[in-house]
Amino acid sequence: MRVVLGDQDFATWRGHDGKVRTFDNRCPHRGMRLSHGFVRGNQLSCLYHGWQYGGTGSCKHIPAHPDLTPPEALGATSISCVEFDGLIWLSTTESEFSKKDAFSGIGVRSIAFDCGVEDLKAQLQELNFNTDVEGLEKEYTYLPSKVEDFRMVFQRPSALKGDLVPSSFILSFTPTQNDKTTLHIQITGFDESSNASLVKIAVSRWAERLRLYVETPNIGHASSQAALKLEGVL
Amino acid sequence: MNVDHALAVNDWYPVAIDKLLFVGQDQKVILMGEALCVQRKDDGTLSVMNETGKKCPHVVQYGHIWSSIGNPTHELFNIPEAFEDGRRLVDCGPVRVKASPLRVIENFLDIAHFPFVHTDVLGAEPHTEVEPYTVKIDDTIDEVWATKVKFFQPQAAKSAGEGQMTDYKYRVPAPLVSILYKTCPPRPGQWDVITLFVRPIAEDLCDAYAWMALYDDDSPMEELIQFQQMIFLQDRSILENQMPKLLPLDPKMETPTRADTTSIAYRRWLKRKGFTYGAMTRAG
Repeated sequence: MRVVLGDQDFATWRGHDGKVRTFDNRCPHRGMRLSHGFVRGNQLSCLYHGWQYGGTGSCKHIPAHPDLTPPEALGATSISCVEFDGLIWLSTTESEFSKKDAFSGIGVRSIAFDCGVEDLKAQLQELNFNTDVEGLEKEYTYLPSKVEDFRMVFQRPSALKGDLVPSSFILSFTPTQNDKTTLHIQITGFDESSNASLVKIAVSRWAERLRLYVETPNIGHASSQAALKLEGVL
Repeated sequence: MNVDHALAVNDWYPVAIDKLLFVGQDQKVILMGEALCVQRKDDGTLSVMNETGKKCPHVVQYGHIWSSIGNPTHELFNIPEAFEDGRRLVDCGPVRVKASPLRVIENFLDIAHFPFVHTDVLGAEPHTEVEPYTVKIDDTIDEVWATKVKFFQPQAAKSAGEGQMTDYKYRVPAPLVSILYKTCPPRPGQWDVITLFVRPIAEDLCDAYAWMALYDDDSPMEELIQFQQMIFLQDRSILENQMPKLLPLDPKMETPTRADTTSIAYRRWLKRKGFTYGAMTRAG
């Protein structure tokens, strides 16, 4: 799939061995975006001429010249990429992946926002989103318990009980092009086998209301915090 | 406009399909950033004018009305085969492509993509090998020619039944024109003519007109057009995803192989002539 980080364009793919790799989104042959390519075994093929790239990016096969061994130096540029706690993390620098707490949340959805990461984080911190669950007598507010560069964790208040309210929200951020953000939402307190799908739908709707609130301040703020309640879970 | 683009400014480009411009009608098109009005007046005469009312030269040939925002000092290229008896002339219509016009022509000259982009039509795995062929930049006529090109095709043309080795010749008589000659299934020894005429709208945007002169008396016209449009739309999905948008003329920027001999010659020819509209001449 295609991943845009700032003004950089990447192709992230998973081989049949389960490993995830990320290349510059450009075939060195004729510039085709590799994210349009296809995976066979543990190689990514460019859609244009079928050039095959192995896990480190080196070109393994050129279909127009089946008997040719491609030179060592020929290949797609590979960047660091790790899987951690249900998400794929990329780094455009050589730095090691910094150790983080793992929460083992389940993925709800990824959703694009027309604002920068810092702006979105600031708004989220201000919002302290509430629950408005039928059957609960009062509102409870999720509070940020952890703030990192590209991740925030919101914790359920201890007084709030209920089988169908998430214990926490793990919100991770990809800074994409032109000051836009992709928000990745994970929740804990459920496993995929329980009736998590109801909760996922409610959280997904909440994310859409959040986007409306963030992207259209005038409309969104008029309905204010009410719009941002996590509704209808029970 | 940049003076470097003199060659591009003073060349001929298709601005309309002749048959589709009726008496009393006009069409507005953009050619290299300039808005033009192509008009067939009530008395049947044609005119092409820019926004200031300046008359642009025009000529009608190969199913299209050709014009220029400059002053071409040369005549339109010649396709002698187009005048042979018994050929059906097919206007395939324009397709808008968000890519450099030069990338569009280069793709038309490429056969190695057939198995991957035109799967089971113009090519199919495992028949992916491109055998050596001959390429020449002919300085006396200022054209690029590729000959003795062969490729296995599952369905080479509308009139083709099963898979076969197909012979091709390619000719580039102008920077934004390419002519393909290919084996003609019903008439061994004769060549079908398939052309691509490109009108540059901007350096990274164009309309591509395919035009064919075929020996095929059986296929309905709409099927011939449909076939060519299907092929070209498959190409467009590639062309709009090549980065950078402009065609790199610096050989260090992209890595070709022997199968790209025509493309290498095309880029070298453009660079040598100084035709850089739609191109980038150095990295960064």
